[in-house]
Amino acid sequence: MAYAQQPKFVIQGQAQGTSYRIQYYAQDSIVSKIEIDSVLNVIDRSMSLYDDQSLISTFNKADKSIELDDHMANVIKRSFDLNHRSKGVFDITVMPLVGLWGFGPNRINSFPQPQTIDSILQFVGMDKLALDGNTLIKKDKRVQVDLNGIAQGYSVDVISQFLDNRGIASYLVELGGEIKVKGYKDINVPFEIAIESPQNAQYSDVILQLTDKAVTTSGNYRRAFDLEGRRIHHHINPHDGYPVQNNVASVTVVAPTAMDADGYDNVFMAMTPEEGINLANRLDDIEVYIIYKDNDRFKEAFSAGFYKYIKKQLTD
Amino acid sequence: MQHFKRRDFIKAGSALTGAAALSSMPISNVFAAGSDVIKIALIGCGGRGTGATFDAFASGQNIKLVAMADAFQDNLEKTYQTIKEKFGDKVDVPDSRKYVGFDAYKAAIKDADVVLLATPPGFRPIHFEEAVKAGKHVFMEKPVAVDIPGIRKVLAAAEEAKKKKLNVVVGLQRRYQTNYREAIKRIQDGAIGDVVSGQVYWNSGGVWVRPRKPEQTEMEYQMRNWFYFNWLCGDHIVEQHVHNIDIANWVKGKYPVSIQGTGSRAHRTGKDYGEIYDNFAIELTYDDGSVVYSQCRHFEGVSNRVDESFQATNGRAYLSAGNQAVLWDAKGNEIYRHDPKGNPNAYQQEHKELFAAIAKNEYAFDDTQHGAYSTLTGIIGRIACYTGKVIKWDEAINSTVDLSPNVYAWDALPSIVPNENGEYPYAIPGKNTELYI
Repeated sequence: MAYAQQPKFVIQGQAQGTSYRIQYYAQDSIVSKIEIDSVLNVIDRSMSLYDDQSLISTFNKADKSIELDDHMANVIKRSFDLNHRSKGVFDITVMPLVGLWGFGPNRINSFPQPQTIDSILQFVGMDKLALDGNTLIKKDKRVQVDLNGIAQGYSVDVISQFLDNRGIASYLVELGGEIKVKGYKDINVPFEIAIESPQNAQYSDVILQLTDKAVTTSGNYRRAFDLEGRRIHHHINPHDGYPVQNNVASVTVVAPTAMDADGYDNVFMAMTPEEGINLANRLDDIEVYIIYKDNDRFKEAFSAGFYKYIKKQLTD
Repeated sequence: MQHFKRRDFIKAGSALTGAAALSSMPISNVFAAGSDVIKIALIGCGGRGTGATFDAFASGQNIKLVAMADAFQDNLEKTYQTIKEKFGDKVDVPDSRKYVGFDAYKAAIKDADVVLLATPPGFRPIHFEEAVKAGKHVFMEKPVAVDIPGIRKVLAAAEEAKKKKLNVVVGLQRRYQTNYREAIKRIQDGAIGDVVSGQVYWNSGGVWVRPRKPEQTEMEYQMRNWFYFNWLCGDHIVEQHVHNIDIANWVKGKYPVSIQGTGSRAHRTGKDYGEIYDNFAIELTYDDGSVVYSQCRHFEGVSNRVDESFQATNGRAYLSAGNQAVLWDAKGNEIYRHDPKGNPNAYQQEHKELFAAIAKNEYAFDDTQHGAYSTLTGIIGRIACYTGKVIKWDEAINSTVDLSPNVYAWDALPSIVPNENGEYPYAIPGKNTELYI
């Protein structure tokens, strides 16, 4: 109903160290940028690691426990769930390891020492956290949580809920590459999202058509550097403390919520393509498209239901 | 035509409607005797018509949809399915009360107590006239006309509606939106002094396009792709920007005495886009010398802006449909900031108030003055940009340029037709001005 004959409004801005774009269809400009920025500010005060007064920063500095606000409680609860479903691959306590490998504020010039990695592993793992109602408890006071692997997707869901509450039935919300779409652009015209190919960042090979879904793409080709002759990617295995070494170049996840799409993309990046496809096929409502390298050639793998979302596939 | 001075506006103004308050008098014969069900008919089964029906049901009154009318069977059926799915028993529209065609509105109007007029605005004047003749209360979408003869028709019907005490609400929903009501009440009470200038905007992306299909006649193609033809739409300065222009007039408490401006068809050119422009910038000059600048555009991929700002002798104001309203004094101190949270939905509010009055048999709403005169402001603005002339209000009101076709029939031709390449003629300032005014 709502998508027919309605003007399009676009709100663009900066948040969480990246840009956002909201495209919605309504009779009038019933959502303003001020309101969106206000929603995002509240989330920052909860979960931004760049704000040393935020709730998450307070928790990271604390010895024992804090009372969570609703936003952080929602994200922490889902994090435990994803950690369980991914058998520990998704883990919000890996920040010290990520920093150790040069993806934090400090760059590195040589590989970290095994004993350093081992000592940090002592307080990495979500078994070092407990959630009692809305109280988050550290079982080791050195535990640090980083919700950047899921909070951006969550922020997209919060903005989407905001638009829903305003009665907007067709929109596309994008923040830092995390996307949620609802409704249609026009009668029977779904939103289209292009997936960037690692082979050539100038064009995309696959176009998705989505309605009432979230999508995200995660890629090793973006965040990586070379060290002592090896390619170091930013996905760190929380079990052994080392960067994930697999042949996955990028994953695209379609999920019901942006928080799930955001959370699962890290998981699929850390698995082999076979493991990733198997996991997606076991999960309800999660579909994945994996681009991986095989003998220097890029290949693709799709979970069973992903084909539903593809508009067309161009070949070179 | 009346110009309200601020004090007169305050005396006559109602906190509820922002328009002249009407004596709440009982009206007779609203419903069938012995029934408290309000029967509504929907004329125009597109997206807005569907939305208006949903909003009417959300009013909380005992309403039943009993008739629907549209030029197209498929639009009517699609909308019927959507509404029926949501509202079940409250929808009592058998096939015999689904009316299709150009004349369908007449039969549907007869069946109801209240009519929702939501077709493309080119039809509004004749539909409104018919509804008033039949003695029905009206919710009509904005704008209320696309040309000046249409405005005169609406004003004439409005006089009849007043005599018959028929409630008429026009879908300029900002008039029912709390932030606007609260802020403009304060402005009219002198909170920031006299308003001497303003800027109102509707800069957004464009709207849908319905490409031509080979089996369509010219009339059917234009009726499907109606936004791009002035006899149906009025151009976007009228169809959409009327919202913001109406705010300028509401704040000023009067209508401009002359309008001039510039506009063009800059990027949205080509066969699919009929004759309309994609940008307008006009100045509304009022009798006290104050000037409001009004800008609207449909450009893709550029910044959007839809809001209203005003400067006054003792302060400033900022308003937007996102529930924002801020007033500052002359020194820049905030003297009012509306809480954007928890406000009622303005689209639902306009129906809530209308249907509440009807349910109580009260005559409380006449939006036709501001509905017609703000629409006229937009039409004159369009003409000023199309011709490049400075247009005086008092001369424009007598224009006889009528955009409607001679015959409403699928095999008849509209007044504008394409050339052999499928392109439509469009206004070029300074040329053929007699076509426009």
